[in-house]
Amino acid sequence: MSNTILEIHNLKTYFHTEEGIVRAVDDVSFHIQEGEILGLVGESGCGKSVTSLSIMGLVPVPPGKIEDGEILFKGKDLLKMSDKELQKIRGDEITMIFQEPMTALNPVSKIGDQIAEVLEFHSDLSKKERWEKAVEMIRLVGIPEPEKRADSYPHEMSGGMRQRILIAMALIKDPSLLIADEPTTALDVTIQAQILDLIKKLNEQFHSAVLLITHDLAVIAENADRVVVMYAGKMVESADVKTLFGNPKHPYTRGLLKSIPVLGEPDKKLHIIEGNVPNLIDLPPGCPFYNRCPEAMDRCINELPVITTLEEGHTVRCHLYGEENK
Amino acid sequence: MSNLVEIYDLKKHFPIKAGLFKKTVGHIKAVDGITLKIPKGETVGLVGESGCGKTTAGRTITALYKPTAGEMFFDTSREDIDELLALKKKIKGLRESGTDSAQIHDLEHELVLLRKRMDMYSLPKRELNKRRRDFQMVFQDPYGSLNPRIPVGDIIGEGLDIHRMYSSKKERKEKIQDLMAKTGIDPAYINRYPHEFSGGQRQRIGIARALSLNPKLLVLDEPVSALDVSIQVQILDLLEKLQSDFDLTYLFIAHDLSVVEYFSQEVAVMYLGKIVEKASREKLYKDKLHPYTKALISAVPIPDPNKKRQRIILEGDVPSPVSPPKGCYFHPRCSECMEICKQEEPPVFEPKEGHTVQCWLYKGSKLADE
Repeated sequence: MSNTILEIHNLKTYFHTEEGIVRAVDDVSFHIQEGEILGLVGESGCGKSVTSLSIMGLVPVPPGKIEDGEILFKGKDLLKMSDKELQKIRGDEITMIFQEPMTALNPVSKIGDQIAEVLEFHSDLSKKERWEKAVEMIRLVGIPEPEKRADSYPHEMSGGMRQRILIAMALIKDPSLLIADEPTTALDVTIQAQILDLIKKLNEQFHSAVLLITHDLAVIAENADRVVVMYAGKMVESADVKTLFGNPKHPYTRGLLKSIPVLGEPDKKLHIIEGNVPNLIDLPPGCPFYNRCPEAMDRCINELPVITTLEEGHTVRCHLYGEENK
Repeated sequence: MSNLVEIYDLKKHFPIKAGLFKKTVGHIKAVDGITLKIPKGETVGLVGESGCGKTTAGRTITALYKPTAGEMFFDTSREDIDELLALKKKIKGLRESGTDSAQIHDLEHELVLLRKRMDMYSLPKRELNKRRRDFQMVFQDPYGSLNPRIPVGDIIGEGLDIHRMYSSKKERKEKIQDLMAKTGIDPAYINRYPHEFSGGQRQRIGIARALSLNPKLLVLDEPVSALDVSIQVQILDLLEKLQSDFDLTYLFIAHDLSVVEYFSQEVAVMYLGKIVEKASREKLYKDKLHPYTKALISAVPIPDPNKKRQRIILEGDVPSPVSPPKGCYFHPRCSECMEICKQEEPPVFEPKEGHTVQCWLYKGSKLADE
């Protein structure tokens, strides 16, 4: 039995805006084991990024507020920690790779210094040792001529290389949990393949847990061990990757899987999910997907379905699988 | 089957200027000699990674950029095109054989006259502006491509205003609302502003605007890449419907191979300003020839955890289009690089009917007739 690194219970992160309350993350629970890659997938506005910001303690307050829930990191609740305690964990045991490799680096500081800066806060190595460690990390993420690269500036690098630098920064302290928020969205497919291979290789090598957040189901299929699907701030389905792709239960997951074009199957008839994602401000009480759902029933309008466990490790939030329909 | 558009050896180089007097110090060869034919009523996909020149190609084809070199024929008869191309070939031949310059001069004059008549890029400006309504563009970014201060009705109607395509205000409004209905926007929203619409709806507005002038060709520059998966399909479906309703021809530009394959009958793969391979979508996927196409296809993830593609990892990054490598542009990253690839640029071969590739591996095959 491997160790659970992160456990989230009933997390609720709301934003209080002038127009009303945005329930960005509403009652989300999941866990990640050591050495596991958990995929968090959903469309824009589904709350996947806010989930990661909540874990990192980076939700802007106000307007944001974590209303309820627990985020247990190795058994300790991150939400109950002081800023100082959190600082110690952040960038050390939990690190994050952001979506935009172009803007996440400081343009006027040398690459080597930026990587070494992490160690300034989280280790007592000397300046020279920190620099050497930075160079070693650049080599590890597969960039040629690491000594030369450490001495250069972000603008001298391509998008793929910058993303590698961010990964080097995130991994330098050998974190227990790496959060990768759309790590390859801004990159080309050939570079995406390189970066994902790298994350997977490092995951195996360092045995870190990875939370991989993306909108791309194909990226999830190839890299994740387990998957959580989110829609309009709520978890709609979670399962191990083979079950989710082989036997999806929620109408949204099913629709989504049928709606992606697959290379090599040009004649696949794409399924259309009609309508748009609902406005998260003052969401109606029922299932958030009901207005787009082909299998919607009357009770879906007013009654939010609870999370049902179908089998070990496969849960779904849908009235089709409620107690009454079993 | 006739072609709506034929492009020959299209080049677009952007000058790099530096220093006090803005001296040109080099050129970005964004599009460096592409030849492309788009059959009437079909969709040709143009695919490649960022910086390969696909957007520049699209913008040059819609005459938003003036090309550095090349011809574009739009809805021109076969005889006319052949006449011009034959003349061009003749001049080239004479020049190579060193015939006296007077004869060449006369022929060149003839060529200029022919060009002015049929080549889109040589048309007088007023003439070109009249023809512009035949080829319209849908842009990638549904947020950046709509003016936030103008109501959507006027955004859609701008082309109608410029080309004076209505006789009364009432007719204008009717036309705009008709376009909105056809693209799936509620016509009652005619006076709303772009920020009141979602990304998918904005892309519909962009499509309605492009359609307003009854174009024959739509250049779709990454029309769905900024949209969510579930919205992507809605837009692709709309584009498919419009194509048959309005008898449209599409040039579909995208980086996402799966979407391109799904949507196009023919696919051209670009790398560093050149089309390296071109074939029907089935052939391109099943019998891919160019090492770059192979690597590109192998990098696309499959949404099925039980399948794994044998991945060809490309080393390094795309070279700069300012100083592309000598010989074949792809040779520094190519796993099958030979000595000749470092020296000489490969010509375009046609190993199978209708399947062209610019690569020395197919040296024995016949040359493509371009």
